[in-house]
Amino acid sequence: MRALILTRTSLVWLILVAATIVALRAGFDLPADLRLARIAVLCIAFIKVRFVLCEFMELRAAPLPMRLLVDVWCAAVCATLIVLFLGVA
Amino acid sequence: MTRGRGTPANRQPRFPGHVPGEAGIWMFIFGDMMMFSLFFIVFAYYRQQEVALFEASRLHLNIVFGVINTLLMLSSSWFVASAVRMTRVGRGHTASILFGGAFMCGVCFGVVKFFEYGQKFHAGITPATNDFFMYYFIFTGIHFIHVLIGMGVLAFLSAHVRSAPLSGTRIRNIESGASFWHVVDLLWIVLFALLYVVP
Amino acid sequence: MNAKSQILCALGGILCPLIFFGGLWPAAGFFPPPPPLEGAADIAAYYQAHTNGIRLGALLIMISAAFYIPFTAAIGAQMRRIEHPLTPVLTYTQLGAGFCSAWLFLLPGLVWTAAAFRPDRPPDITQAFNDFAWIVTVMPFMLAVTQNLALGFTIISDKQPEPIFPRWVGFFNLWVALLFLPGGLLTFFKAGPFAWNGILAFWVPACVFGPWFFVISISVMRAARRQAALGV
Repeated sequence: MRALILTRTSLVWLILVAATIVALRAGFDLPADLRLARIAVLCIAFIKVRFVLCEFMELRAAPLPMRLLVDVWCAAVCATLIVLFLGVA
Repeated sequence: MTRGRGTPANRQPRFPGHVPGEAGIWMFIFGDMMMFSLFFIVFAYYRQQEVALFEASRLHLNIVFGVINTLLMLSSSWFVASAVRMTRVGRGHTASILFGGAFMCGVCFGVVKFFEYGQKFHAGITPATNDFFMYYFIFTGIHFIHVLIGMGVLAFLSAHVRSAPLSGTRIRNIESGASFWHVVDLLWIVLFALLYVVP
Repeated sequence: MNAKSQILCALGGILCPLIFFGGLWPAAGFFPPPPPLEGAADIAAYYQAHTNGIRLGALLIMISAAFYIPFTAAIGAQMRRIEHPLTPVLTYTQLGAGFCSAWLFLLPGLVWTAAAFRPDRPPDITQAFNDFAWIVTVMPFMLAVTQNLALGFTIISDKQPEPIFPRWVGFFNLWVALLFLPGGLLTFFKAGPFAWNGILAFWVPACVFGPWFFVISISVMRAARRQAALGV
């Protein structure tokens, strides 16, 4: 049992759940600055995505080109969404 | 990249590293992520044109169901990642149970979806109600199809991981299936943020 | 050794999209697709102004259908080698789906021909034919999905030491199948991303279908050449 619970996998799960809670607070607790809240929620979502990619999907150990591709994708999609959600574009 | 079948053993890969599963599944995964990225951007683009409508509609979504589903997805990934670890140390029986646990998370996700959609229909909200709900139903619907496919994969993995000893190919196939499930989780993380949370 | 005839058949997969697209755009001017919300009067006016272009385009589109058949057969010939010695049921599925899909090139051509046959008829009738042709072109995703899934799964299940198709081609087929799914939604929408000219129902499948032809055609030709070299 210990071998299952006290693991890196569990730690990652805790971080993801915590990030979810933070994002919910940012989105729902009547944030004063709407734009900041939007950026925060989107960034947290993609940080979670990157955790899933790097930890659960084990891309930490992947060859450099693949890791770069994944990081670029995360950043690009996150940035595009932020721009669109802020109504800048 | 994991070495292909025909690579001579003495050739060092230019970029060292190991990726779980086989190259083909990663192509599929990236392709799937591209498709959903397009969904995300299309949603954000059309939202710009009707921000007030989208905001008002978003508040009709049941955030409790959304959070429960997110926790189910995250937990299912924990089960799958743990199962792969157990597979690698030869504990096939434990791995099988863990894959089963992930499968049950999928079942619960489906049940929550059933009640969530049901609640909408009961309130007279359908994909035709307005643009926000069109995207909500269609994108969560396509995601749910992925969940169902993933559950099929998990059932297959749960059954096949028991037969020890596991060859390299077998383990690679299990890693491939596991990676697919993590993508299903990953896509939900973004969908949840876009549809339910972003104010 | 019939590698030559296999390769010729596989070439159908290169000619079909080229002829189809030649008919669709340079000839008929149907690319990008006219929006579903366009009024009957405007559509009828377009048919009247471009009658012979549309007639020629429709004819080319019909002709492209013929090339899809040997292409499907060539795919099936290689799939059968993978499934051998078991009963090649996925091969049969692909053949069935592929042969039915040839109609998806034939029928729009026929309907566009009918639409352009008497361009002075009431605009509502022309619009109805136009609707029909576009729906047949964009909507029947399940045939393509069936063909792609059969081919994709067969390729992935190839357990030979020298697989007949590279494994990524199998996964490519599965991905393409996925991308075709939104096409069926066009029935509910006359505008937006899921309409027959929308980004998710039309553009994504169309931009993927074209390369799919070339990828599969070249893969089949390569497999046929390897087969000839091996003498099997």
